[in-house]
Amino acid sequence: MFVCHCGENIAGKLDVEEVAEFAAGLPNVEFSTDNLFMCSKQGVELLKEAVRRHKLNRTVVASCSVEQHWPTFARAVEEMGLNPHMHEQVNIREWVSWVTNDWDNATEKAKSAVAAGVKMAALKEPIETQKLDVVKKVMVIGAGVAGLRAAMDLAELGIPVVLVEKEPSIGGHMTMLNKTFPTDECPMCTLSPLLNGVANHPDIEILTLSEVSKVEGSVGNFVVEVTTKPRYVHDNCTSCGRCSEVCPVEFPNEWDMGFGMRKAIYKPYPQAIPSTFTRDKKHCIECGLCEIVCPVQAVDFSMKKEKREFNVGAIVVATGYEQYDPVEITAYHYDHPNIITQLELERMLAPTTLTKGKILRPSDGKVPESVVIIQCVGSRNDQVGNAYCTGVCCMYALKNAGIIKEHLPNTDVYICYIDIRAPGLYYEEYYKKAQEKGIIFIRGRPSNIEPDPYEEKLTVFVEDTFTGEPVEIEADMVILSAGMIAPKGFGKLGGKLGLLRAKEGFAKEYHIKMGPMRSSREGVLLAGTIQGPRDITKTVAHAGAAASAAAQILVKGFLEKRLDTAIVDKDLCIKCLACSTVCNPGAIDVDVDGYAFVNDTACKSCGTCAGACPTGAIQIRNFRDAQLKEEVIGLLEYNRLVGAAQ
Amino acid sequence: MSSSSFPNPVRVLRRGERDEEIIKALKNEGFDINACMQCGTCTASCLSGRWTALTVRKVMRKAALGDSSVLESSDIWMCTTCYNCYDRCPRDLKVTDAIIVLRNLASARGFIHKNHRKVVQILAKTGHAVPINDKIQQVRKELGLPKIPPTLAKYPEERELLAKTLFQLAPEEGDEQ
Amino acid sequence: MNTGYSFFLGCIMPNRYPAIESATRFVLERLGINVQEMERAGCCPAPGVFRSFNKPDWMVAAARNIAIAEANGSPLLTVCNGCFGTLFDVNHALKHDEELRKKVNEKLEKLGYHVKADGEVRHIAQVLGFDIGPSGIQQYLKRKVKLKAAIHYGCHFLRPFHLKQIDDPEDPRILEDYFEALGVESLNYRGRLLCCGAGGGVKGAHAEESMKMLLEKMEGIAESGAEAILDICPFCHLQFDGGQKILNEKYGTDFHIPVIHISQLTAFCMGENEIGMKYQVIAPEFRLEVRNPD
Ligand SMILES: Cc1cc2nc3c(=O)[nH]c(=O)nc-3n(C[C@H](O)[C@H](O)[C@H](O)COP(=O)(O)OP(=O)(O)OC[C@H]3O[C@@H](n4cnc5c(N)ncnc54)[C@H](O)[C@@H]3O)c2cc1C
Ligand code: SF4
Ligand code: SF4
Repeated sequence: MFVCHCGENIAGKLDVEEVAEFAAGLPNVEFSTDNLFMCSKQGVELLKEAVRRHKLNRTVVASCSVEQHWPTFARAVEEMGLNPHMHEQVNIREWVSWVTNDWDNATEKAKSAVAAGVKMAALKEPIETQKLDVVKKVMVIGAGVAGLRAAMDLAELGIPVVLVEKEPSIGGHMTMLNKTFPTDECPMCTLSPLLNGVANHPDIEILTLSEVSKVEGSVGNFVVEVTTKPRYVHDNCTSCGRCSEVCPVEFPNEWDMGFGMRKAIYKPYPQAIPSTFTRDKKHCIECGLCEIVCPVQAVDFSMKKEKREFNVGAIVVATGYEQYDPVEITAYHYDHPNIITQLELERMLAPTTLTKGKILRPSDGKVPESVVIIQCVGSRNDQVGNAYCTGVCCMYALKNAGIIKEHLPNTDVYICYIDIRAPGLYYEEYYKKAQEKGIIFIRGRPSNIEPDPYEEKLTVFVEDTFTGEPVEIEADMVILSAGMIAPKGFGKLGGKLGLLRAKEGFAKEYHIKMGPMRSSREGVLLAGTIQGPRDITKTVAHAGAAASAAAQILVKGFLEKRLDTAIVDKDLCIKCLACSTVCNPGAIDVDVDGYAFVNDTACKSCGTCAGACPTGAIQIRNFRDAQLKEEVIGLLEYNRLVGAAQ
Repeated sequence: MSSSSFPNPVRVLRRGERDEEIIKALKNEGFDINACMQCGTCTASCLSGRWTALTVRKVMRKAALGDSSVLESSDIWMCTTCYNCYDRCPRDLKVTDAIIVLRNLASARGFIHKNHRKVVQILAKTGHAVPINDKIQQVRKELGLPKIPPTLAKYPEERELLAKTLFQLAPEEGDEQ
Repeated sequence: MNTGYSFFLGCIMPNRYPAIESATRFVLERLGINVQEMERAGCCPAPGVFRSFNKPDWMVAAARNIAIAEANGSPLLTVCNGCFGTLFDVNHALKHDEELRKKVNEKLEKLGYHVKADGEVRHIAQVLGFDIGPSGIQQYLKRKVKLKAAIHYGCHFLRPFHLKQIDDPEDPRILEDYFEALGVESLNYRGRLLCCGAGGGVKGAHAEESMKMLLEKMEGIAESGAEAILDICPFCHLQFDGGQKILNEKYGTDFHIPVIHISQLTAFCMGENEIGMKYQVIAPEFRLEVRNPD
């Protein structure tokens, strides 16, 4: 028995020595002591030495959670020749010291937990591990910069990748941007080596117009069904564009946020990958002109939806973000043509769009003399349910304000902000540069934007909180720095993958510090903005981490699975198979005699079956009814002991 | 306070000099105005602030710091309770209601404008904040309405009971200017 | 259809603009809506002043009025944003907070009343603009007006939004749609959604500041070329009507824009000729022009 102080974490809230002394008197306890940090080298050595000297066959450490340090001590007992499961962990930190201020009660509670742990330890059974083969292949869902980076990193390690993208082309939001902070580089230029690299990599299969429709299996061996919508143009398309020239249907291009036009048969933008054209069935009037003009007969209206199954060992989710829709903040009147979002501005600045890259007031094409940028639209806003700071908008606002100034040196550019958030190397410097460009910074969040009743003008109402005066800014255009939110349809995919989501809608990470690229499900990794808003720098780093975490599962070729799984006692089993109906991963089969039979590979040790079984025939190893009962008895006995003494 | 003859020109923040009653009163009504991020949405929303010294954001700041000068100044009485700031605050603070809490506290300490005292007296006397007069009685008759409406105006005993039970104002403590 | 309303008079309507009262009674009668008097009701009491002095007492006095309507057994109807602000908000608070209801009733019982807060508080603009609606009202109209008007919403009708949920307070349409159904051409004007500057006890104690706010509002209205101001609240009405005269005297302006309450205009369109314009301070000579059927 080892009682840990965890520095002051435990010892500052309860009497660890008293707990250790108490444990020494419990049946079966050979040796008991306390120690400042059990997880330190000295602590571990102390444990090993005690096992050797006292010939212990079981150990109990009362310290932190199983998650945190069970593996540390289990490894130590294993080194001493015992089965690692002969170690029992009692949590007196999260369960006791961290949640109390009452010294005496905490000490008592710790003692009762220790009493229960010692009882449990006596009944622990050895657990073996099993080697499971893994499928050395990864599916990456979403082909924005995060998905591309992860796919490339994996493929370069020799791990084949299936890259699934729902749009007709890959690249995601980064391809829509005009410049990228903090260097003002052209994003297409920086991204296209990666885009082309992925497109031409022999180990990467790209599926566009595709979405995941079913997920089965578990880490190491998932079976994923992907549904691909028909493109109506075969891959022999040479991208000559004649179909598009003759197509009579024209309407706003989604990729250009309405600042450019496209035909019903189209490529979203000139450098799009794959370069094969796409026919948009919804808008097509089926005149058939494209079929006629195509020199290589690539157009084919008879193409059908396809479903394919893939066997993969891990899944990387990189489905990105969406821009917050500002219509919700009605005081900003986003329905007005001269009030646009930053993403719309990024498109307006592209040379291929309607304004040919010029900044013009949408309602009448006038060159704006005054532009107001408003920060935190849909971020840092409890009213719309997004309390978080997007953390990117300040930087892209500085970027775009500077670009407007460069295009139109005589135009007044305002940024109305609550706080400018530009932490880290090069970012504050970028802020200073923007200040030097003559952008007018107003510290205040505008309350409302009112369109002038008589002229094409907007009035922005804001307090200059530095002077404490309410001001009105007359503007020709207003640009809303709309925050980044989780993609609206993500719930469906998240459900199929069995992922937990944060209340803001993003995929919940395993641990915010130690596992931001892991999801709540083993074998499913998170890359980029699907785990929370971030810029490209951080997206790329995060995606790299996700790729390496996926590779970690696959490179050895096998997984070691702990078999603390469910087990059936045939003597008790009445073949009702209640267990099999409740088992979520479908781990329970039927053997030749009709008894329930557990597939150890698939079993997640959740214990649901044990609850459903009417006879207690199915049990989880080391969580057997008899073991838990003994643990509870330990707890009750202690409390009765105390009750009697008082 | 310093005993020197030169008063410190700067406001000193010192333990025990915050007006805890302000903080408590707001808390009791469920306002955690410490969560105010001083964004100024409220000030920018405020019609009154365009014409008067009322800067809602500063009122919130002073109240959060327990600065009792906020109760003594007439600023909080410039709010027309239009609720623009309340509906727009991104931290979802009930700004207008917080101002009402401050006004209640100011009233309890006797900071009430003399005209407002008068309104309370009129209510006690007539049952209405704006009472009837002879001219209007005549107009009412011309319009085919009873000269006196069937309200408290007609029920003096009940009026008195009401006046005895409600709105007992604190004695004057230096009229709010 | 609704069986009737308890008609809450408040203060300013019966005691300053009784024509709004007679017009409202006329409209309700034409609509076939039964009117129950609220015998012994008093001041709502005004949310700007009385709530500011003592919120708990304000609640009790408001609950007393609500209790009178409850005893009548019909929903309470008001024609005033101030009364609506008090009575709706208090009713809502009492309805959703049992603890508060108990506390208020303790004091209320000393006055001989008990409140259940299980009924409704409604504004005439909701009844006309929403329940009956722009198309529903047509069958009751005898004539339409030819009038370019600035519509003023006032504050407590739409806000706080999470309580009222009547229309988007940042860009409401309910009154425009309704008044247009009476023939009105509604004008968009600078400061359309600004407050009139009277509420919150400001008019009573800080008349000068209150007038400055009105000045801003009036300048926006005058700029639009409005022939009339249409409102839904006797307090705003008082501010616009009496206020224009004060502004003209103090600031040398020359405002002369008649002010008409929703009940007055509706009564006129239903055939009532006497809507009391002659008793008002500004433009007593004003007569509404009838639109020729087109
Ligand atoms: C206006 C604006 C300007 C910006 N400027 C900069 C800048 O200058 N510098 C910078 O560093 N950052 C900038 N950013 C941030 C940058 O856009 C992001 O950091 C980056 O694009 C995130 O990449 P991602 O791959 O995580 O997401 P995305 O780019 O959103 O990619 C996600 C991909 O997944 C696909 N997908 C979604 N759902 C599914 C599904 N169910 N199945 C299959 N595929 C799916 C999408 O179609 C998309 O292709 C800016 C952001 C905005 C809004
Ligand atoms: S990054 Fe800046 S603009 Fe964006 S939410 Fe954060 S503070 Fe607001
Ligand atoms: S709007 Fe809200 S958060 Fe912003 S300054 Fe006013 S009270 Fe504070």
